[in-house]
Amino acid sequence: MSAVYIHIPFCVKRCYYCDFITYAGQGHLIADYHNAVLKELEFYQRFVTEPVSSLYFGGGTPSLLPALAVADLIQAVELNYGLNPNAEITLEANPGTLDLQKLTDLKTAGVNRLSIGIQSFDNSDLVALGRVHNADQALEAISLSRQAGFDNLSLDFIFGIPGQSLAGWQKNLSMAVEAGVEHLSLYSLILEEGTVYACMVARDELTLPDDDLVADMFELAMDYLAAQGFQQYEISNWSRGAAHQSQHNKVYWQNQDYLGIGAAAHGLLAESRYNNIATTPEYIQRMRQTNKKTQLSPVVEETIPISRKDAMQEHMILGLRMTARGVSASEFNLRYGEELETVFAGQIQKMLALGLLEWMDFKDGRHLRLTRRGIMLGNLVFQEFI
Amino acid sequence: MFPVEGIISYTDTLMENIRNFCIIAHVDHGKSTLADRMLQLTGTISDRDMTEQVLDSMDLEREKGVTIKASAVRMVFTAPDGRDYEFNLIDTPGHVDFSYEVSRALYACEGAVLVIDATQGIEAQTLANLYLALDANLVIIPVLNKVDLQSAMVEEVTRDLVQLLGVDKSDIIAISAKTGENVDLVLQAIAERIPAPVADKEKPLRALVFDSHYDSYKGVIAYIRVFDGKISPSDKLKMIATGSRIEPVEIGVFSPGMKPVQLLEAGDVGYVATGLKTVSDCRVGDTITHALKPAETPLPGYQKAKPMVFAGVYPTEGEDYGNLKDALEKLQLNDASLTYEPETSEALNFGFRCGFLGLFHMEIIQERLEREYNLDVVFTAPSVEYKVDLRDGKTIIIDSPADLPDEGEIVDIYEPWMELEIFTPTDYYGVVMDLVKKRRGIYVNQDYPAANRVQLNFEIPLSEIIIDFFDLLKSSTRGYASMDYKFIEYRAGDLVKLQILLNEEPVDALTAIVHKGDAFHKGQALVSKLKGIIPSQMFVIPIQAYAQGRVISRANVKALRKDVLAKCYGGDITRKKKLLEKQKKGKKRMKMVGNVQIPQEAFMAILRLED
Repeated sequence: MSAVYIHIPFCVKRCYYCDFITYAGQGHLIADYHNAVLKELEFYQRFVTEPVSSLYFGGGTPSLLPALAVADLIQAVELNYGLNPNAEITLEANPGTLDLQKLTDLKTAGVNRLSIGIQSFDNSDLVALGRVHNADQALEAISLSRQAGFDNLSLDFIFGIPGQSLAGWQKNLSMAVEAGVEHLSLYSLILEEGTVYACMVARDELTLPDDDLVADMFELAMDYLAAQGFQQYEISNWSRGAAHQSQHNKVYWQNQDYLGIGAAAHGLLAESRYNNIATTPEYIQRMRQTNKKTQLSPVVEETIPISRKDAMQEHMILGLRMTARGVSASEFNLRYGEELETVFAGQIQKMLALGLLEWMDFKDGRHLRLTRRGIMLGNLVFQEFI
Repeated sequence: MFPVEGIISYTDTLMENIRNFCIIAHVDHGKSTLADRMLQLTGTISDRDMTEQVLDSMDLEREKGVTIKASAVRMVFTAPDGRDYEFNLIDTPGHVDFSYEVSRALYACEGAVLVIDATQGIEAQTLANLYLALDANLVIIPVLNKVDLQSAMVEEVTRDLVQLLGVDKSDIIAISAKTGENVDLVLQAIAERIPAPVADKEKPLRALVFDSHYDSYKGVIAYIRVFDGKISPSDKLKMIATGSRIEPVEIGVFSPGMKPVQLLEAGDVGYVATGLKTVSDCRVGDTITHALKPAETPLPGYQKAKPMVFAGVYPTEGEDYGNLKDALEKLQLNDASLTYEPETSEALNFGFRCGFLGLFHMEIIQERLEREYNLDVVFTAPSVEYKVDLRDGKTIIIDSPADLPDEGEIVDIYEPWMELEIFTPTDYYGVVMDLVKKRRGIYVNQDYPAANRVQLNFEIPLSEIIIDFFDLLKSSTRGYASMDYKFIEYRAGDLVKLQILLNEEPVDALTAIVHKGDAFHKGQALVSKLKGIIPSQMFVIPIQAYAQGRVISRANVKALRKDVLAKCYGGDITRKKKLLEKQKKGKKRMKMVGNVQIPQEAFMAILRLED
């Protein structure tokens, strides 16, 4: 165990496309929530046997927490589990919730990587998405982060926004490159059930861009960023150099254990996936009533045991997302005691024949990975393995 | 079944106190509600045990508000003068596909309660069934229902009824079956106006089977009206038309559940539990008589059920073939008009060619397969039965368009023609005329049975009305028109085979036989419809329509360029996996033809060409 995720389910306002567990207008709960998280961290003490090497504050909008609170939580992680001195400590931050003082305090608290929810540098895109910030605030957030001393910045962008053109997307990409950041996450807009967008589309108030344009945008990003020296190491993630890949997210894609802390957080522990209760007040309530000695976390709502077969399937659909390295045959063999080429013989053969997968030689032997067409049509490949 | 508690016990009723009747009504005009009120008022069912619409016992019937299988129930009605009557209510199916079954049920009665919805007025189906009732010499009691509603047009509909039936205004009973208002007057009218059955208990037994259902313990239950003679439980019986021998498991009456009795005699309505294994041994319209002392002639009117509409039925999952076969077998136990035989399709693999009385019958079978037997099935576009004269002098009969031989081998193709009656407010005269003309219909004559209403009579090929005709008629007349049809004869037609090629390969299950003049626009419409239905796949898929030796329309389904989950992090894995599983399952439901995946709805595309 070396990765810890802490969920911060608070936002200024819910964005139109968002279906994450987050609540606007519950700011008064932040202090109680903080205490509940401290208690949950303590609960897992006996399960964690090695110092934490990656800590991730996700949301919601974790940058809504006061810097002192973040410092306190980092300290608690160190106290309970130990913290590797080189640990990656990421915090998701939204423009409009940041100023130089706060950023400096976060840096001092130990945060060493920021993932900033820029989404677009175009104000009409930002309005369409229902974001609370504007383009100027987005640029300002980047420069303030640099001033505060952050040298590992990631920016989130969305493409396929209603009204967005290919030229508009190109401009976003150019500005992102010019900003000189170390890491980019580019997500194609997905219409999720229950969001404001889904509702608008159902009522014919919103038209999403057509599939061809979205495909063009994705291909443009791949080509342009490659030319600019970025490596696409995962379907939606690019970094300058392997050192700037997200260590934390790679834990997920390599199908390794991680602790999930907080309301609605998910974790993978002892061959089970678990998820915590989703509503914040109930999470706080249950944590408050808990007795330290209980064997099971009082906030876990559901535990799904992962069989070896499940684990192998998940290993493939997660591992193949890593577009550069793919799935190592020798690692697979070491972990499951079976040959990758045997377990998934039919699937691999079929996908190779369709030109969606390819074998590549690495130092530790062959790796199976998506071809360029395979990246575009990843779901067709993933479906084969489940 | 129904609780026995609280049911009145029966004494021998004098034949003069028996009243056998049915209720004639259009769908939704309130037949079942009226029947429910009668059951309550006569104490046949206690208020406590009343489930809505007792007679429609299938879920599907309740949902569609339509009686699919006829049913019968005995009630005891005590008239205001203290006299006890035995009422036998025979329920009839309410759809054109079942007009033969309706005619047999009517034949078992002496009278009919004609229910007209005061908010809707008279409709074609009501008329069609009314004519059947008049043919059977029934006494008609006109009832105006839903008079409690604001939108009731009491005066107007009363005037129409007076004109239609030649009755006096005072003969019409205005009721609300929902509130129960004046339902007692209907019961009194049944006692007073409908004659007692005229029957001879001493003659050799003749009992009409007007319906049946299959019971896994007692075999086929024949619903009967005894016309002559009597039956006791120990009698050896036989069916005159099918020749089946019967040793009854029991005989009885419906009150409303099955209640065994020791004797059924002339005039009675009841049942014989035959022990027979399938309803096709005990067909509606057949006559039951004694095996040892048989009647010389059967009761008139027996016909063998003849399917008119045919469709391929295939399991979505190949492994369900056996289950589909079992389900069809079981459905046929209860439904002698359903036929099926094995069929193989290149596109859909192994399935069955099924025959139905009509499109409505087909829909019911489809829904029962899905709901009662939990099967995922694909129905191909329905077809009629064609007779084809070949150059070599032979005549073949085909019910699947894919079986039509090459044009060079054919001399003539004959298709079934129907007599079509459409009943509509006169405002929609032109609309209806246009619609029928577009479908190759021929105008015959017209009649004005009620004010502002016209009955139009046409002749039309069956193939033109089994596909979306009824829906179009309804939508273009704002739901006011209604229709009825029956078979006339086979006529030669200028017909051609329309084929669809996907990725250059013909798909047998998408073949249609169409009129030469329609081939071009139907081909085009089908291609553009399929283009919208077939999802993008890894490669471009050309779709072509082909008729009379040439491609008449062509379009391409674009290749799929991007399909990939953008986000997958720690919290998403389980959910994203489920999403992928769902996507995969959806794909598995599609049919593979060559290397093209075709969604099931593609096979029904031809049904909705005019959307």
